[in-house]
Amino acid sequence: MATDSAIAETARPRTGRKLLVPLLSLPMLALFLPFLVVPLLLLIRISVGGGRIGFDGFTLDRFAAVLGDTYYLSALGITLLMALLTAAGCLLLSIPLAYFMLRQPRWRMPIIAALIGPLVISVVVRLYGWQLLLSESGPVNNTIALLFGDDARVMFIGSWSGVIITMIHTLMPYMCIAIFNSMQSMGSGVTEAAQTLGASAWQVFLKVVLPLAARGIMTGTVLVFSLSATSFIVPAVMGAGRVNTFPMLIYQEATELNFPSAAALAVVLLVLLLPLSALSTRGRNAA
Amino acid sequence: MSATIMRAIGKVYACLMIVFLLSPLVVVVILSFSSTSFIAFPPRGWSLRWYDQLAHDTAIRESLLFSIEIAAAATVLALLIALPTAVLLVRHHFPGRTALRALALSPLVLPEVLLALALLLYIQNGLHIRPSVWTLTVGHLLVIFPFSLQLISSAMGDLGPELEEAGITLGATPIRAFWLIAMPVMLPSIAAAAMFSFIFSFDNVAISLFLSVPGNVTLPVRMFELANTTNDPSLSSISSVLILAGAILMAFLGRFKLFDGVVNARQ
Amino acid sequence: MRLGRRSFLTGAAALGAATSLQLPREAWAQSDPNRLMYGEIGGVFDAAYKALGAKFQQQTGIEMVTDVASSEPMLAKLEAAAGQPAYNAVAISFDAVLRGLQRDLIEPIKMSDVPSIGNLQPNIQAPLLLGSGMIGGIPTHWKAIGILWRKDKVPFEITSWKDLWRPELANRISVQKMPTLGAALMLIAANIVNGGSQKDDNMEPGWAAMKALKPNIREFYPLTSAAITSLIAGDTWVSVNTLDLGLPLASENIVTTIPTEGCTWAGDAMCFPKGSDNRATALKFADFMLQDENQIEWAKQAQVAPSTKVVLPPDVQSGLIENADAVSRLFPIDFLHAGTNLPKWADRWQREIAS
Repeated sequence: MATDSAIAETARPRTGRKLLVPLLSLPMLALFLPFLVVPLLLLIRISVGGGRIGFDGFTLDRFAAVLGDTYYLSALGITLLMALLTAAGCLLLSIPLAYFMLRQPRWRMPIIAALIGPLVISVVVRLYGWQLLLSESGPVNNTIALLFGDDARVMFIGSWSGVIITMIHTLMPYMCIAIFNSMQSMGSGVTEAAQTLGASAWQVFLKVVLPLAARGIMTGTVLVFSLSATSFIVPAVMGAGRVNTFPMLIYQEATELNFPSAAALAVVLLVLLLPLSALSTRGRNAA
Repeated sequence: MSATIMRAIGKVYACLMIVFLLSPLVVVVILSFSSTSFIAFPPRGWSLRWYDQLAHDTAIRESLLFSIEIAAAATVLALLIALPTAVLLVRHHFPGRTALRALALSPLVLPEVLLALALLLYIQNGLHIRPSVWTLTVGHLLVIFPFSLQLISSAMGDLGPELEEAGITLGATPIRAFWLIAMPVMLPSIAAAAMFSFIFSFDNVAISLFLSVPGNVTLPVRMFELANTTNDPSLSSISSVLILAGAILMAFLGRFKLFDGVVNARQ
Repeated sequence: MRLGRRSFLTGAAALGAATSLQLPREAWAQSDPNRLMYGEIGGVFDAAYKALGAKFQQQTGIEMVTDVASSEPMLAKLEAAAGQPAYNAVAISFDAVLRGLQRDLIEPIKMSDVPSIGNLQPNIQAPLLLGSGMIGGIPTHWKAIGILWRKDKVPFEITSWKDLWRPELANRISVQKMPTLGAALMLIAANIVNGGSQKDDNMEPGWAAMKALKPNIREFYPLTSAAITSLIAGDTWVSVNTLDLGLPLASENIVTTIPTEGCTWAGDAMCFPKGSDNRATALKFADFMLQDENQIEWAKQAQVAPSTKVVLPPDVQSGLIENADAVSRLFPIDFLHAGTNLPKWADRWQREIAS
């Protein structure tokens, strides 16, 4: 916009503005260049290298092995599908909840407490809790048996359902708070204004609130999808070894001391997920 | 559908969600009063033995303190770095902006195990530094940075540059405009970013496991290995204490209206 | 009272600075002869090592500093450390010791450097013997692995490994998840009872048997506690697991069985990473561990069967299944074969059994 640069110029000399960009990027680059970029390059180097840790030679064999093998590809597919289902589930549950929080200020504290509460306990303990809740003779199955008979008991642990439920529970807080933050920023006046102009509650929600919360929704989705696709402990325990995700394969290769293979798998996952995170902060005002 | 029915449905939904979110916690707290040395639900008997054991467990206390210290240090650093980065990515155009944004978020899409191993390899083989508390903090900092950045940039994006520009037309420098005008409005989001970053670091297993330093074990790693070698409910008493601490903290924040910031942003 | 923005930010920054200044001093001291940097599995072992470490310090003045990690990540850390380990000694499973030796991450120990090495039970130390008076590591304990099962759920009595394959147990068994020694031992047991042998790498009977067992396996447990919780909750009726874990569970209708054919076993050993500067201290501790009274304390605290010939007091022995009778029924296990092949087996297992 021509006006703001003109304004900035009247406020300060031009050179100040030119310096601002590199100056602002300094903190992040000071952290990332030595501690993320170089290890990442190391990872890529190992994935195409030969020898024991992967420092000698060059070979694309590992990538060919991964991409040509249905076993790896199906694990990749499982991982991405799981992430998709988790993100979709979180979205479906979080949007109404965030909207409810927006409209009912007195409910905000208890809901935020319920969202944050599970985060402060260790992941292992949270898994204990879900293992007990979802076991065949646990409260959830007992309720199902009460309503639909004993044969209706569901095997949650060791199947997708248990993994997805637990993953949604684990990641929903991040999604919900991101969306709520976004919805809040539009201010309370907007929804009231729309309603006085004659829009129904549904129309207000669909045409006003959702678009304005788009940024929060994007942020939340990318966060949840990425965290779910790289998670490893929850699928390992709740899947009881029958739901095998890509990160579990990576852990397996790493602990078998096959660092080059593990690196290759990580690079594949990175290549798939990175573009996703890049488009996260686009949305309205992509300025 | 009338507004009252919708509101009622909303309340029922909110209640169901709260039950869903809190149910594992309820199970864990109930379990912590179990009398048996194995995990059974419903508990076969009641006892305070796990709390008694916890009170005498110095290792857990040390780990708890260590985890808090690492998380605090990592969070403060993450916020300090995320703020200028958010300003850069949201308010300014420059070539390579998308690449920088992708880089900033990349720790999220890397499995932590591999990030930790790559970091360890690099630290020991490349930099020839020994694993220390500082390298552990850097590891944590890397994985929580995307959280801080995402939440703060989201807020900044929603905020829009209008307020600061108004300040600038009134004669303030861009820096003053940012600090005095934009920051206060963004404080709730910064608080949210701090909270999530802290919790994510506190809870972290993979980085802490591989970048650990002998003598200082973080709480999640200790709990993870406990789960690997025993099957008693002792972990649930630790978690119950954490839940209680969290609840007290939230009550405290609520009382002093600090939470109002997170809960009621724009007035 | 509303805290102003400024004071909040300053407070937070100050808090951050203050806590970071109080962070524990760097513990890289593996060259310090007055400290022993020790990596171990944690859990009950951590408490046991702390107790023994305190006693060790009393006797020798050497401080024991522990770090916690199970065998698989521990070995990965040693590999990444490439000759500059942070530990003077690590306690890892037998197969990890042998794999570590192969990859040159661990240095063998001269048996004559450990005066009390004669205390070790011969068959427990046998897997780690390297010839010419060298040993890969000093065994710390061992455990028998067999079948835990619910007598109120299983419609017959389980006495043999072959019982696992019975159709009544469809979708009711848990075995350990790969890539662990536990899963490898399951394969080895299946192999032995179907006529195979590790000696000539004849593992095909085992693989065929495991494929046939697939319909019966409900869970591949990654955490021991998950398996026991599942057994108690009734999701699984049978678990191939460490037998000692089953002894306190009789009240839950859980039976601890050593199958008639025999049972597998595993052990952990203390070994020395290559590149550690402080062997003398580590050797001192190894010798300390092998003393009778320390072995009794160790068995009591960690609730494991000691690796030496020490006779345990009855109250400690009663909590352990590893008595003379159990020793006579152990399968012979080639841990080197298992350790070397574990990556290959894990890969095949994941493809053919666990998918």
